Amino acid sequence: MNERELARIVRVALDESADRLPYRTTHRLEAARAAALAHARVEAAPRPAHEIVRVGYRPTAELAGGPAPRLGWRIAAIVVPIALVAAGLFGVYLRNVSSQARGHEER
Amino acid sequence: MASRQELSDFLAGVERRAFKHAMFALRDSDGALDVVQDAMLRLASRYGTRPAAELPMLFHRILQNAITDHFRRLRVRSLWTTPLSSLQNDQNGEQTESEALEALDVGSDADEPAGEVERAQLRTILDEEIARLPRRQREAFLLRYWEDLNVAGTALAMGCSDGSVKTHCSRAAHALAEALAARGIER
Repeated sequence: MNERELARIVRVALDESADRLPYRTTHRLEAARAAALAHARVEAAPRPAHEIVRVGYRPTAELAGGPAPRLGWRIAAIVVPIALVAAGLFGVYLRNVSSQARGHEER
Repeated sequence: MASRQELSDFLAGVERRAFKHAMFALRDSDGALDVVQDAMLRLASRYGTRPAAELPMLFHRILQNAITDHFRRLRVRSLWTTPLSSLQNDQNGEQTESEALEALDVGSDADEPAGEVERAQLRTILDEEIARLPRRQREAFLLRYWEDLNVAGTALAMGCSDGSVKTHCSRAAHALAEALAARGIER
Protein backbone atom coordinates (compact mmCIF):
# COMPACT_ATOMS: atom_id res chain seq x y z
CA MET A 1 0.00 0.00 0.00
CA ASN A 2 1.61 3.30 -1.05
CA GLU A 3 1.38 6.57 0.88
CA ARG A 4 -1.36 8.06 -1.32
CA GLU A 5 -3.53 4.95 -1.13
CA LEU A 6 -3.12 4.78 2.62
CA ALA A 7 -3.97 8.48 2.88
CA ARG A 8 -7.15 7.93 0.88
CA ILE A 9 -8.27 5.09 3.15
CA VAL A 10 -7.48 7.11 6.26
CA ARG A 11 -9.26 10.19 4.93
CA VAL A 12 -12.47 8.27 4.15
CA ALA A 13 -12.44 6.54 7.54
CA LEU A 14 -11.75 9.75 9.46
CA ASP A 15 -14.45 11.66 7.56
CA GLU A 16 -16.96 8.95 8.43
CA SER A 17 -15.81 8.98 12.01
CA ALA A 18 -16.11 12.77 12.24
CA ASP A 19 -19.62 12.59 10.79
CA ARG A 20 -20.67 10.18 13.53
CA LEU A 21 -19.71 12.20 16.57
CA PRO A 22 -22.29 11.96 19.35
CA TYR A 23 -24.89 14.71 19.69
CA ARG A 24 -23.41 15.90 22.99
CA THR A 25 -20.12 16.62 21.25
CA THR A 26 -21.57 18.24 18.13
CA HIS A 27 -23.86 20.37 20.29
CA ARG A 28 -20.92 21.62 22.36
CA LEU A 29 -18.95 22.31 19.19
CA GLU A 30 -21.81 24.39 17.83
CA ALA A 31 -21.99 26.33 21.09
CA ALA A 32 -18.22 26.88 20.97
CA ARG A 33 -18.50 28.17 17.40
CA ALA A 34 -21.28 30.57 18.36
CA ALA A 35 -19.20 31.85 21.29
CA ALA A 36 -16.18 32.33 19.02
CA LEU A 37 -18.21 34.23 16.43
CA ALA A 38 -19.59 36.46 19.18
CA HIS A 39 -16.00 37.45 19.97
CA ALA A 40 -15.01 37.84 16.32
CA ARG A 41 -13.37 41.08 15.34
CA VAL A 42 -15.90 42.94 13.27
CA GLU A 43 -14.61 44.42 10.04
CA ALA A 44 -14.35 48.19 10.31
CA ALA A 45 -16.91 49.91 8.08
CA PRO A 46 -15.31 52.18 5.48
CA ARG A 47 -15.33 55.83 6.69
CA PRO A 48 -16.15 58.80 4.47
CA ALA A 49 -13.14 60.70 3.13
CA HIS A 50 -14.01 63.97 4.93
CA GLU A 51 -13.92 62.13 8.28
CA ILE A 52 -10.53 60.62 7.49
CA VAL A 53 -9.16 64.09 6.66
CA ARG A 54 -10.36 65.41 10.03
CA VAL A 55 -8.75 62.54 11.93
CA GLY A 56 -5.62 64.57 12.73
CA TYR A 57 -7.66 67.01 14.83
CA ARG A 58 -9.48 64.40 16.85
CA PRO A 59 -8.65 63.66 20.48
CA THR A 60 -7.26 60.20 21.25
CA ALA A 61 -10.34 59.14 23.24
CA GLU A 62 -12.55 59.80 20.24
CA LEU A 63 -10.24 57.93 17.88
CA ALA A 64 -10.32 54.98 20.26
CA GLY A 65 -14.08 54.87 19.94
CA GLY A 66 -14.96 56.89 23.05
CA PRO A 67 -17.34 59.86 23.18
CA ALA A 68 -16.14 63.16 21.75
CA PRO A 69 -15.41 65.75 24.53
CA ARG A 70 -17.53 68.92 24.64
CA LEU A 71 -16.37 72.12 22.95
CA GLY A 72 -15.86 73.88 26.32
CA TRP A 73 -13.43 71.18 27.47
CA ARG A 74 -11.56 71.37 24.17
CA ILE A 75 -11.11 75.14 24.52
CA ALA A 76 -10.17 74.81 28.20
CA ALA A 77 -7.55 72.19 27.30
CA ILE A 78 -5.82 74.82 25.16
CA VAL A 79 -6.48 78.04 27.13
CA VAL A 80 -5.74 76.84 30.70
CA PRO A 81 -2.09 75.72 30.09
CA ILE A 82 -1.38 78.95 28.15
CA ALA A 83 -2.89 81.04 30.97
CA LEU A 84 -0.80 79.22 33.58
CA VAL A 85 2.43 79.77 31.63
CA ALA A 86 1.56 83.48 31.13
CA ALA A 87 0.82 83.91 34.85
CA GLY A 88 4.15 82.29 35.72
CA LEU A 89 6.06 84.57 33.35
CA PHE A 90 4.24 87.62 34.75
CA GLY A 91 5.17 86.54 38.31
CA VAL A 92 8.84 86.25 37.32
CA TYR A 93 8.66 89.69 35.70
CA LEU A 94 7.13 91.28 38.86
CA ARG A 95 9.79 89.71 41.04
CA ASN A 96 12.58 91.08 38.83
CA VAL A 97 11.04 94.56 38.84
CA SER A 98 10.69 94.63 42.64
CA SER A 99 14.26 93.39 43.18
CA GLN A 100 15.60 96.07 40.81
CA ALA A 101 13.60 98.77 42.66
CA ARG A 102 15.02 97.54 45.98
CA GLY A 103 18.56 97.78 44.54
CA HIS A 104 18.05 101.39 43.49
CA GLU A 105 16.74 102.32 46.97
CA GLU A 106 19.77 100.74 48.69
CA ARG A 107 22.14 102.76 46.52
CA MET B 1 -10.28 39.79 4.34
CA ALA B 2 -12.60 37.02 5.63
CA SER B 3 -16.20 38.10 6.14
CA ARG B 4 -18.16 37.00 9.16
CA GLN B 5 -19.99 34.45 7.00
CA GLU B 6 -16.73 33.03 5.66
CA LEU B 7 -15.38 32.71 9.18
CA SER B 8 -18.59 31.01 10.32
CA ASP B 9 -18.52 28.59 7.38
CA PHE B 10 -14.87 27.79 7.98
CA LEU B 11 -15.43 27.04 11.67
CA ALA B 12 -18.53 24.94 10.89
CA GLY B 13 -16.53 22.92 8.38
CA VAL B 14 -13.48 22.36 10.54
CA GLU B 15 -14.89 21.92 14.05
CA ARG B 16 -15.49 18.16 13.95
CA ARG B 17 -12.12 17.41 12.41
CA ALA B 18 -10.51 19.72 14.94
CA PHE B 19 -12.18 17.76 17.71
CA LYS B 20 -10.75 14.52 16.31
CA HIS B 21 -7.28 16.11 16.11
CA ALA B 22 -7.56 17.14 19.75
CA MET B 23 -8.91 13.72 20.77
CA PHE B 24 -5.97 11.96 19.15
CA ALA B 25 -3.61 14.15 21.12
CA LEU B 26 -5.42 14.37 24.46
CA ARG B 27 -7.57 11.21 24.59
CA ASP B 28 -10.05 13.09 26.72
CA SER B 29 -13.26 14.37 25.17
CA ASP B 30 -13.86 17.21 27.64
CA GLY B 31 -10.27 18.38 27.29
CA ALA B 32 -10.53 18.12 23.50
CA LEU B 33 -13.71 20.20 23.45
CA ASP B 34 -12.08 22.84 25.66
CA VAL B 35 -9.05 22.98 23.38
CA VAL B 36 -11.17 23.32 20.22
CA GLN B 37 -13.26 26.05 21.81
CA ASP B 38 -10.11 27.86 22.89
CA ALA B 39 -8.68 27.61 19.36
CA MET B 40 -11.91 28.88 17.80
CA LEU B 41 -12.02 31.83 20.18
CA ARG B 42 -8.39 32.73 19.52
CA LEU B 43 -8.87 32.54 15.76
CA ALA B 44 -12.06 34.62 15.76
CA SER B 45 -10.89 37.29 18.18
CA ARG B 46 -7.34 37.76 16.85
CA TYR B 47 -7.30 36.61 13.25
CA GLY B 48 -10.94 36.90 12.16
CA THR B 49 -10.11 39.65 9.70
CA ARG B 50 -7.32 37.75 7.92
CA PRO B 51 -7.93 36.51 4.35
CA ALA B 52 -10.12 33.41 4.16
CA ALA B 53 -7.36 31.45 2.43
CA GLU B 54 -5.10 31.84 5.49
CA LEU B 55 -7.67 30.58 7.99
CA PRO B 56 -6.94 26.80 7.72
CA MET B 57 -3.21 27.21 8.31
CA LEU B 58 -3.76 29.76 11.10
CA PHE B 59 -6.42 27.66 12.80
CA HIS B 60 -4.30 24.53 12.85
CA ARG B 61 -1.33 26.46 14.16
CA ILE B 62 -3.54 27.82 16.95
CA LEU B 63 -5.00 24.37 17.61
CA GLN B 64 -1.55 22.80 17.96
CA ASN B 65 -0.53 25.60 20.33
CA ALA B 66 -3.71 25.13 22.35
CA ILE B 67 -2.94 21.40 22.65
CA THR B 68 0.60 22.20 23.79
CA ASP B 69 -0.77 24.71 26.33
CA HIS B 70 -3.18 22.06 27.60
CA PHE B 71 -0.34 19.58 28.13
CA ARG B 72 1.68 22.29 29.88
CA ARG B 73 -1.20 23.00 32.27
CA LEU B 74 -1.60 19.26 32.92
CA ARG B 75 2.11 18.97 33.69
CA VAL B 76 1.93 21.83 36.20
CA ARG B 77 -1.18 20.31 37.77
CA SER B 78 0.45 16.89 37.97
CA LEU B 79 3.30 18.40 40.00
CA TRP B 80 0.73 18.85 42.76
CA THR B 81 -1.54 15.89 42.19
CA THR B 82 1.01 13.11 41.51
CA PRO B 83 2.19 12.79 45.13
CA LEU B 84 -1.44 12.54 46.19
CA SER B 85 -2.54 10.12 43.47
CA SER B 86 0.41 7.79 44.13
CA LEU B 87 -1.12 7.14 47.52
CA GLN B 88 -4.21 5.73 45.82
CA ASN B 89 -4.54 2.33 44.22
CA ASP B 90 -2.93 2.65 40.76
CA GLN B 91 -4.38 -0.42 39.10
CA ASN B 92 -6.63 1.34 36.59
CA GLY B 93 -3.94 2.98 34.41
CA GLU B 94 -4.33 0.62 31.46
CA GLN B 95 -8.07 0.66 31.81
CA THR B 96 -8.09 4.46 31.51
CA GLU B 97 -6.09 4.31 28.28
CA SER B 98 -8.30 1.68 26.69
CA GLU B 99 -11.36 3.71 27.67
CA ALA B 100 -9.87 6.74 25.97
CA LEU B 101 -9.20 4.77 22.80
CA GLU B 102 -12.74 3.46 22.85
CA ALA B 103 -13.96 7.03 23.10
CA LEU B 104 -12.26 7.74 19.79
CA ASP B 105 -14.53 5.25 18.10
CA VAL B 106 -17.88 6.90 18.01
CA GLY B 107 -19.70 4.51 15.70
CA SER B 108 -21.85 1.66 16.92
CA ASP B 109 -21.67 -1.83 15.40
CA ALA B 110 -25.08 -2.84 16.64
CA ASP B 111 -27.78 -3.61 14.07
CA GLU B 112 -25.55 -2.75 11.12
CA PRO B 113 -25.07 -4.77 7.91
CA ALA B 114 -21.85 -6.75 7.53
CA GLY B 115 -20.19 -4.18 5.23
CA GLU B 116 -20.92 -1.41 7.65
CA VAL B 117 -19.61 -3.49 10.55
CA GLU B 118 -16.40 -4.01 8.61
CA ARG B 119 -16.11 -0.27 7.98
CA ALA B 120 -16.79 0.46 11.63
CA GLN B 121 -13.99 -1.95 12.58
CA LEU B 122 -11.65 -0.25 10.12
CA ARG B 123 -12.51 3.15 11.66
CA THR B 124 -11.83 1.81 15.14
CA ILE B 125 -8.51 0.28 14.11
CA LEU B 126 -7.42 3.42 12.28
CA ASP B 127 -8.39 5.61 15.22
CA GLU B 128 -6.33 3.43 17.55
CA GLU B 129 -3.31 3.29 15.27
CA ILE B 130 -3.36 7.02 14.50
CA ALA B 131 -3.61 7.75 18.23
CA ARG B 132 -0.51 5.59 18.77
CA LEU B 133 1.64 7.57 16.31
CA PRO B 134 4.17 10.01 17.77
CA ARG B 135 2.57 13.45 18.06
CA ARG B 136 4.55 15.26 15.35
CA GLN B 137 4.16 12.41 12.87
CA ARG B 138 0.43 12.30 13.49
CA GLU B 139 0.06 16.07 13.10
CA ALA B 140 2.00 16.11 9.84
CA PHE B 141 0.15 13.15 8.39
CA LEU B 142 -3.31 14.47 9.31
CA LEU B 143 -2.63 18.03 8.17
CA ARG B 144 -1.23 16.85 4.85
CA TYR B 145 -3.69 14.10 4.01
CA TRP B 146 -6.84 14.88 5.97
CA GLU B 147 -6.80 18.66 6.06
CA ASP B 148 -5.32 18.79 2.56
CA LEU B 149 -2.72 21.42 3.45
CA ASN B 150 0.29 21.48 1.13
CA VAL B 151 3.80 20.84 2.46
CA ALA B 152 4.50 24.56 2.97
CA GLY B 153 1.16 25.14 4.74
CA THR B 154 1.71 22.11 6.96
CA ALA B 155 5.21 23.35 7.80
CA LEU B 156 3.80 26.77 8.75
CA ALA B 157 1.05 25.22 10.85
CA MET B 158 3.54 22.99 12.66
CA GLY B 159 6.30 25.58 12.92
CA CYS B 160 8.92 23.38 11.26
CA SER B 161 10.68 23.02 7.90
CA ASP B 162 9.26 21.50 4.71
CA GLY B 163 11.80 18.69 4.98
CA SER B 164 10.62 17.82 8.48
CA VAL B 165 7.03 17.62 7.26
CA LYS B 166 8.00 15.20 4.49
CA THR B 167 9.99 13.08 6.93
CA HIS B 168 7.17 13.00 9.51
CA CYS B 169 4.60 12.13 6.83
CA SER B 170 6.71 9.36 5.39
CA ARG B 171 7.39 7.82 8.80
CA ALA B 172 3.74 8.09 9.83
CA ALA B 173 2.57 6.44 6.60
CA HIS B 174 5.13 3.66 7.00
CA ALA B 175 4.14 3.04 10.64
CA LEU B 176 0.43 3.06 9.80
CA ALA B 177 0.81 0.71 6.84
CA GLU B 178 2.80 -1.71 9.01
CA ALA B 179 0.28 -1.52 11.85
CA LEU B 180 -2.65 -2.12 9.48
CA ALA B 181 -0.86 -5.03 7.82
CA ALA B 182 -0.19 -6.54 11.23
CA ARG B 183 -3.93 -6.37 11.91
CA GLY B 184 -4.76 -8.04 8.61
CA ILE B 185 -5.71 -4.93 6.64
CA GLU B 186 -3.86 -4.73 3.32
CA ARG B 187 -5.32 -3.19 0.19
